[in-house]
Amino acid sequence: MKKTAQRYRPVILVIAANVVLWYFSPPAAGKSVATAISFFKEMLLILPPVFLLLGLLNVWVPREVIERYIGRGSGIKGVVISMFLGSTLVGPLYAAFPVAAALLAKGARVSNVVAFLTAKAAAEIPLVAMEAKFLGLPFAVCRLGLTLVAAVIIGWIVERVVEAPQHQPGSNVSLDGGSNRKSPKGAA
Amino acid sequence: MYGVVLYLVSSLAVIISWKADRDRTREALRMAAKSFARTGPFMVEVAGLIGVLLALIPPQWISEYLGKQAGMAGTIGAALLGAITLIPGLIAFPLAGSLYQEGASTVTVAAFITTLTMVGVVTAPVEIQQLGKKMTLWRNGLSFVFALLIAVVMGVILG
Repeated sequence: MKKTAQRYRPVILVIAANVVLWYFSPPAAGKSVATAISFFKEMLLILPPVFLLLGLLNVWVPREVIERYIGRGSGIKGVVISMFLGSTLVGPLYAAFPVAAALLAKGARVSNVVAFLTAKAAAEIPLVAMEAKFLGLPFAVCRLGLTLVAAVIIGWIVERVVEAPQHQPGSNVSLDGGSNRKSPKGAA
Repeated sequence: MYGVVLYLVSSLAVIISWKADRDRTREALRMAAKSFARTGPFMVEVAGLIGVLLALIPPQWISEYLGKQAGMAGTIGAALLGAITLIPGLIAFPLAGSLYQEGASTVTVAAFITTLTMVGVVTAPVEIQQLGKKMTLWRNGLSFVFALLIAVVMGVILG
């Protein structure tokens, strides 16, 4: 019972936030709910096939393959592959989180996965083309270059922090996603 | 369009996989369903947060606000707004373009675009669920700092 309540805490939170909003401004709450529903529909459309593909990746791609290309010891090649994957993967960033989790569970290096996410977020090639159109080519190229450098540094720092030895209970939640600690491969 | 391609690719992959090995495919489907069910509530949270946020801070307001602000205050404001909001690129780049034309500095526009893309406060619930709290906090925190750095360097390079 308590577990169910905890599991649906996010849903309850959202409803509460909208009730508060409605109290102050009914039209704003209406707009908020409409936006949330359309966004939720988009997520419902995109995430199931993403999870399907990751499920297949999980059963078909051997751990060694991921380890070899973007695992420990993959070196500069691993960073380049990760950032290339990130910047060519189209779609919203939230769909990349499960991908990142699946790669981690299969032995990818933390720094590479973070570089992948950063590249996905800020250096997506189709978006850079659009950026050049609205903000000019120098702006887009300059930002792309700096972002890729930042992606490597951020990845390196996050890896040091996440993998720092710590002997507290539950300190290794980094790989299994906080709320479901019982399945260490919670990445599927 | 994107959705259609994604469904075509994934169903094709499932069919091929099923032909190759039924048991493995069953296992893959089971895993997919399980992780999808687990992510569900957090998807509701993210969608809800975005709804509340866009109701409180409409994109038009952002361009009005940032157009008026100059200097440091404008840049910090742009970085914070970029970090907490989630605007799709299709709207974000035209918006940033109009900011530029209204006279916002390169640093401000760069700070806005960079935090907008790199830092995701509203999508954090899904990120935490998938990757853990520590990694999410550090990735987003560092991204914010680096976004400001990138903005400043761009200001120096592009003037």
